[in-house]
This record gives sequence, C-alpha cells and structure tokens, in this order.
Amino acid sequence: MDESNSSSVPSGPTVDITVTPSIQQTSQAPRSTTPNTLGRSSPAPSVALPRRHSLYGTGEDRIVLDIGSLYIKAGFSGESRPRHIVPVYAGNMKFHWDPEFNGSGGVVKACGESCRVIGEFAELFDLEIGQYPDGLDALYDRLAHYLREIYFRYLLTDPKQRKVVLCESPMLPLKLKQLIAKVLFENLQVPSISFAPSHMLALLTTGCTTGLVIDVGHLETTVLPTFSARPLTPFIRTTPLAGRALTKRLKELLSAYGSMIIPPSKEQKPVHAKYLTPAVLEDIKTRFIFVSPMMISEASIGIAEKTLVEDMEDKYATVVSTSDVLYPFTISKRGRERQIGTLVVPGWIRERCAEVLFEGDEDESSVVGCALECLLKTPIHLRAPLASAILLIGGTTLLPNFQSRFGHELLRTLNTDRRFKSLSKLVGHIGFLEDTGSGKVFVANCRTWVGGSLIGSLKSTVIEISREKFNGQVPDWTTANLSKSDETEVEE
Amino acid sequence: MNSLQTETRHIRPYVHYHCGCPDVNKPTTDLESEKEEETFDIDSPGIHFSTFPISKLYFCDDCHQIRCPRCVQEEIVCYYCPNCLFEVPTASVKSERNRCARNCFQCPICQNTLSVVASSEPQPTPSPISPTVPTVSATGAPYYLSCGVCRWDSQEIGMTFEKATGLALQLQKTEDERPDVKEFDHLKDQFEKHLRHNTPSTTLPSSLLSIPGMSGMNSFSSRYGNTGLAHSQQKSDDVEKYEAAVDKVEPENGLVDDLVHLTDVNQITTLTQRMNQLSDQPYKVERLQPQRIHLRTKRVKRCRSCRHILIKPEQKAQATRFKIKLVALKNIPKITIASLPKLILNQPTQIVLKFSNPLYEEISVDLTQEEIIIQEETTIQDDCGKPTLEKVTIGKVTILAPHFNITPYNEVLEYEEDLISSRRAAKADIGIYEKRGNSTSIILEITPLAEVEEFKFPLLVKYTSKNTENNENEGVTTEEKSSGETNSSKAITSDEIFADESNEVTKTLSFWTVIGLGNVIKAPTGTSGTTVKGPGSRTEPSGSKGSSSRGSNSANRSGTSSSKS
Repeated sequence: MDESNSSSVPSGPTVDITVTPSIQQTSQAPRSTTPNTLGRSSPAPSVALPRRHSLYGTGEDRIVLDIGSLYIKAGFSGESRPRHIVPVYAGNMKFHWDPEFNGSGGVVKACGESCRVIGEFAELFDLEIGQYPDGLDALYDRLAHYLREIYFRYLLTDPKQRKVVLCESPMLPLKLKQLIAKVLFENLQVPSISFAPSHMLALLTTGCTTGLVIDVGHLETTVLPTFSARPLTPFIRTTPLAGRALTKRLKELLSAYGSMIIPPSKEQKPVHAKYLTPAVLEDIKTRFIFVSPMMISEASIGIAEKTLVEDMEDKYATVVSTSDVLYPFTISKRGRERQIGTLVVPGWIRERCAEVLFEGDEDESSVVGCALECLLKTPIHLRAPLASAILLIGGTTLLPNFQSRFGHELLRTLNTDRRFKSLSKLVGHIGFLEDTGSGKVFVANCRTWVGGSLIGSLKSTVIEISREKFNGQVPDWTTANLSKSDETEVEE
Repeated sequence: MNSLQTETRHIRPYVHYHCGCPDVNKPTTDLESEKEEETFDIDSPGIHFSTFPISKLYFCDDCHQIRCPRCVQEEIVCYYCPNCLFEVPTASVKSERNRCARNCFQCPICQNTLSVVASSEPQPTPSPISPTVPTVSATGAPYYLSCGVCRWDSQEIGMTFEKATGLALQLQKTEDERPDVKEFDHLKDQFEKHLRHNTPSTTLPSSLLSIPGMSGMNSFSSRYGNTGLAHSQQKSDDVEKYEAAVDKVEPENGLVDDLVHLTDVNQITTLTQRMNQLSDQPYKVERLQPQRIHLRTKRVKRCRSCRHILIKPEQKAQATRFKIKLVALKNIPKITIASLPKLILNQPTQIVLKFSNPLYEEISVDLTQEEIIIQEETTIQDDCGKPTLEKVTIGKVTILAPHFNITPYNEVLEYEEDLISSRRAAKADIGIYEKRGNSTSIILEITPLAEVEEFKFPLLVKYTSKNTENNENEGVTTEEKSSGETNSSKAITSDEIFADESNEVTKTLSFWTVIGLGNVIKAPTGTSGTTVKGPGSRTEPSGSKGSSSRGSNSANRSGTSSSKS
C-alpha cells in the first residue's frame, strides 16, 4: 500500500498544490460523509491522497510546541493531539544518550527508540530566571539539544521547512521567551514563529470563547479570565501551589511516614532519603496520588489553612480507608532494572497529599483562593459568565477527582469566607466547561497544545515573526501597547 | 551536586573531549569561547553540552577541526522502520504519524516489539489480568499480538485480527473514529466558518481574529486590556454557540474508587506508558493499546562552517555502511584510562593514560602543562551568614612526560600484540609507561586534596602530525622507528627523525579534554595504593570503549592494509 502512495504522489518538489483545496473541501462537505483524514489520513483509500499535506510542508502545516518546565509537547498543526510529550527534566545529553549510564529509576524510554532520559533532576527552566547569571547559556544549550532531538528523532522533520506555533504562558519570563525564539531561529533556523497565549488556546478547544481558565502546571498555578476570546490579562492571578509544591509535600510525607522493606530483612524501616529520587516521586505522584473527595480540614477563614507536616498523620490517617501501596524500588544497572526493595506508601498519604493545593495562607493562596481572587478583580457583569465556564488545564489537574474537589472547595469558600462575600451570589452559577459539551475529549495537559494546533491549521493570515526580521526581540504583551502607540489601530 | 543521587549512582571514569563549536551562531557565549583557549572551566554548567566521548565526535578534514553533534547540520535522507527495515517514502511519513504502517507494533506495557501470533485454539476465557474487559472477538479472529518479554497479548484487551498482514490498516478505522479526532475537525470547521463570515468586515476588530497570529500585530497588542470594548462587541463578533460533535467523553469512571482500593501497583499505568498513548493517557492498564513502532531516520551530517559532508550513510535501510564517515575516532589521538587505582585522599596515585594514534603518520603530542592544580569555587557562609566565594584546592595532577611521540597506526601490528609488547620501554623514558603498536601510555600522578564525588581535571592536548605523501616509505620504516625511539629521549628523537623531511605538511590541532576519575575516598588503614605496577599490569583499558573501538578501527582499515605491507 505504500507503493501506491509513492506512485500517486509525485516524489519531487512539485507538490504543494493539493493542500489548499483540501481544507476547503473539509469545511464544505457535509460532516457525516467527510472522512476524518486531515493530519491523520488513512493510508488505504485513494480518496484520502489529495488531502495529504504537502510533501515538504511549505507553510500549511506548522510545528506546534508547548514548552513546559518538565515536558515539551510537540506535534503538527491540524492534528488532534501532540505527537510526543518529551520529558525534559533530566540531566544532560551525555546521560541521555549513553544507555549504560543509568541513573536510579530515571529511565524514561520514549518514542520507541533507545534514547533514555536520565540524570539529575532539574526543571528545564524556572520562573525566576534572572537570578542565574550563567543559567541562560546553559539553558540555551539544553533547549537547543532537546529541540533538535524533538525535530530529528521524534517529529522527523527538517526545522527549516516548517513554521512554528509556540504556546506561551502569560507569566513566561520575557527573557525566556527571547531565548526560546533565539534557539529556534538561530540554532534550528525555523522560518517563522507565531506566539499564542496558552490559556486562550486551551479555551478554544472547548468551542467557547469565554471562561475562567485555571492552569495548574508544575511551577505555578495561573488563573486567567478570558471573555469573548480576549484574555483579560490585567486580572491574572498566580500562586506557587502547583505540581512542584505537590512533589515537595509528597517527599516530606514519605520521609516522615513512609516505610520500606529491603530483603532479606522483613521489618519496615524508615525511608532513606536517597531512595526518594525525583523520578520515584514523579512516578508515585502520577500514578497513585488522587484528590480526596472528602473535605475535612476545618476552614476558619474559608480557605483551608495550612497543616504542618507533623500534624498530618493525626489529622488524616484515621479518617481514610485508602489502601497502602507497596511500591517496588528498582535500580537500573547497565540498562537492566533490578528490584532492591519495597516502599510502603501509606494510603492516607495517597489520598491527602494533594491537600497542599487546597490549603493556603496570606502569602500563598490556595488554588481555589487564587481563582476567587481573580474573579473578585474582574468587572461585576463578567463574573457570572466566567464562573459558569471554569476550565482546568495543566498536568496537575489530571489527578483523579481534582475537578470535583475543586468545585466543592469553591462552593465552601464562597459560603464561608468573608473576603469573597461579594461573590456569594455566584454560588448557583459555578460550572465547569468539561462537564458540558464534549467533556474530557482532550486531555487537560494537552489542551493548550490542541488549541495551538487548531490555530495553526486555520486558514487565515497568521501573524508571525520571520527569521529575517528577528532581532532578538519578541512580542511582549506587557509593553506592546506602549511601543506600538505610533501605529494607528483600527478600533481607535 | 546532589549527594542523594550520587550515592546510588556509580560515577564511571571517562575521557571527554571538548568542542568549542566556534561556528555555532551564539553571540552570548562568544566572549567565553575566546577565553577558553587559556582557561577551561570544567565546572561551568554548559560543560555537559560541550564535551563528548570521542565516539560521538566528527572530524572535518577541510577545517581540520573537531565537530560535535552541536556543530553539524543534519538532513534526513531516509525514513525506515527499525523493526521491519521497510523504507517509508517521504510523502507518507507524516500522514502515517511517523510510525510503521505495516505490521510493527510495540508493547503498551514494556515497549518491546510485539509479534503476530495465530491463536491455535479459541480462547473463550478472558485473561485473568483484566477480567473486566470483555474479549469481544477473541474467539472469532485468528490472529493477535503478543509480547515476548512481558507476556502481554492483545487478546487481553479484545484486539484480534482477521489477517496476519496489514494490521495497522485494520486498526486505522478505529483510529480515525476516535472522539478527539472528530471533535478536533468539528472545532476547526466551526472556527473556519466563523472566520469566513467575519473576514470581509474587518472594520471592527474581530475578537477571534485578534488571537495573536491571526491578524495584525496591532490588534495583538490591543487585545490585552481592552475589556470595556470587548463587552460592547460581544454580540457582533463572538463565535456562535458551539455544539460538540461527540457525546460527552467521561473516561475512566470509578477511577477514584479503584485507586482507593488499589493493591497492585501494576494496575496503574506509568508515565511512559501514558505518553505512548497520547489520545487519552489512561490511568488504568487495561485501557492501554499497542502502538505502531516509531520510524527512524538516516541523516547526512554536514560541517556547519564549511558545509562539507562529514557523515553520509548508505541510502538503503538495510545497509549499515557509510559512504562518507569522518569520525573523530579515526582522526585524533584517542585517550583511554589504562590503569586507575583507587584515589585516596592526600595520597599521590599514579594513573596511566593511553594515547592511541589512528593516523598513518607519526604524531607528536604536547600536553603543555606539567602540573595542573584543580580548584573549585565554593560558597562558604562566614560568621555573619554572608556567602563568600572561596577557592578550594581539590587536587594536583603532575604529568611526568608532557611531550611524547606516537608511532603511526599499522594494521599489521594489530595482530602481533605479543611481538610488540616485548618492546616495552624498560628504562630511560621518565613518565612513559609503555609504548606498543600505535599507542603510547604515560603516567600521571594524581594527588587528591579533597574528598570529592568526582575527581576530574582538564587536559589540553596538542598534537602535530606530519603528513608524508610517501606512504610506502613510512610503512617500511615504522618498526625501526619505534624501536629506535624507545632507546633515546623522545623529544630529541622526533626532531632527528623529521629533520631530513622538513618539506612535509605539518598539521597541528589542540583540544581540551576533561578526564573524570570517579570519587575520592578516605585512606583506609593499611593500604598503600601508590604503586602503579599492580593495577598497571592490566593492559586492557578500563575506560570502557577502548577495546571495542580498536576492533572497529582494524576492521575498517583492513581493506587498505594490503597496500601497506
């Protein structure tokens, strides 16, 4: 069947003609009869062939990148999911490529190739990027390395031939944004980059243009109201309670209350810190932690107050029925995994670890408090439409039961917290976008990417910075109004 | 450094070569790389990205420079499936989602390759691992996928096939009907329709059009902050109410209950398993499905500065030959750690570094420094709690023989190890441990002065090769030369030998290396550890790769060997 492909599609540079009509066909043809061939066309029927994207991708399909501090999501525009989510938190290239050099447990085998991501745990970047003077150079190298890998090993495409849609979080430091642009333009020589705001993109994947988008990522939680496709950036609220805080809490709890059994002895010993590697913690976090459906923290000021780690066992251990989990420790030696012992993860830790996200104080709002503070800042007439269209995105919201607990906490806070008294009328309006329409058809950690893919595939003039025009500067929403004031705008 | 990690991980000794990548367009570090000629900071954060094992490096003949993966440009010449070695035409690579469209699948549990198995007998009972999943067509269809490593088979999830070939095609239908694919296309239609209706009247900034990248940069900037305006336009430009194309997707009902009562950790997918199934990233193992195997590429690599081809593989997927293969292993002296006793605090220890010459010419190596003092900047909290930078001496490295020659590579000698080893440098050469074949081993004296997890030091290697056009002549005299050298001081020898051939082309190249020797331990009682004789008698280099790469060297060159002898 591949032979038929090569014969009907000319294998020369005489290609791009087929692309433009294909998109129009899709939009005009009745939905029921249109085979869903765009971007993932079935190889079998010959009808699908003219729909194929061009051989060399001259412009029509773009590369969509969502660069996070732990994972880079990458794929082609016009597809409903990223091709790959590449972990980028590992140490460095050498370890990455040397299959013999395995860290403990840190083996992540991706893309079916024998490239393993191994090494010391480090986020790709931090939000306080200015504090590390030589950090930017190292980051340039890391980013260039990962992006090269993504292009040549995962996407299997030449960066010079495809434009890029870059999903950007509104709180991404400008320096970092410039750095990413620099890597893409200088190192990979991509033809152009379009920046797109991540919250907005995620919202589009629900088919709505108004909503309160709450992104609970790794480094921080960002709440951004969007009304009628306009991100209301001045009202953005953030809190550091997110994935990283959860990992930290998990580590504290496991070191304090976890136990381990190392054969041949059968007794349970306290967990030695050296076994709680970031890879192990990430694994436990993504597999066995869930958000408890029950709220038991007493809430004197509405938002649950922080509980000290020392008090947690007393508070939680007696009121949960969650089973303990026996987690096998493996150490990889020369590429082979070997179990050396068992870690006992108490059930109450599994159930209550995520409480950290719902407990706040004056300095760090809880995720719920952060959302309500954001609502409090928005104009009164926008509050109801926003509160009835809450969208939770980001990897941390994939914790089972996160959304339902979030909803309960929201209601409780609205009812009890004096700070949010003016919002109390919203109680009847609270609603989640994923509870309506198509539900969780897209996974929450990919919604931003899917939105980018959507934008990239629409036929319209796309604003982009081209490589020729790149001078180290990137569009910056914080100053854009000032710098562009000399140009006349249509609506003024 | 995280002491927590290193305890569980043994740091291996290594020799890594530095590539300054002078041609990589990177203005921010230009200043640094200029400085690097004299000082080479082995503790800089970028070190991991600029140093490589020799096996990863290339050598550009035209620039006479080392090239690393960072300073080569790649072009894909061939796509193929690593399992069936089928070459995929460029045109269909992307539409196949970069995966094999034939019969190759990887196990959803352990990512190994699955094989197609014919079910000899009907299997009426579902597998005990996932009793909840009904095996729909298990009895009907005769073929299924099976993993030879973890024993997973596709009957567990009710996936069977009518035919044993074209499995990807048989699955394509379900793939195309996934809700996320449908929904995505529907969303696209919706927004395209909206754009079509709104584009003619661009007098008002359509809000959707002002999604960055959708219209002018101006509206991009105005989009933020114009909230009052937004409200008034709500009616005119907002997207009409959207009706989802698919029914509400509620994956994995009852997941929390399952998690509450979880006993077997293997019932929950790992991150790796989820990331191989991005359509829904399921929590439960029984929802995992086999994925087609990812394609690989063959790539041409070019030097970034002169655009010459360094690596050119044979186009066919089955062929492992290279048409052009300019690798560093065949062009610069290879350094291996031949003997490495345990490093003990404050105790001078002799290690042996073996320099091998891959060239057909004699080279002279110049290590420039005779003594290297390793210092590390550490922040120390003083009494007031103020952090101050202080240099702490980690150790001292003394090179006893900083200048030496290495005889040319000669494949005949490769097979006569015994004969050569008798020509060991018995005396006279201070610091030369041994000379044999195309390699010279030298002695370095290491004195660790601090207890560190990894003792590493930089070494600037400068070598000069004299390119005699008259290769035959050299081949004949090789043996005599090497025997003559061992008897006299090497520096003088080199001058003498090449004095009468002064019209030759001399090429010099210098490069930095980082040599890591593993951790330093405190002195245990009753161990001397100063002698090199004991561990040194082990002739096989302990720095890994030594033996294997030499093997490939001889194999690659064997084709040309007949003309030499």
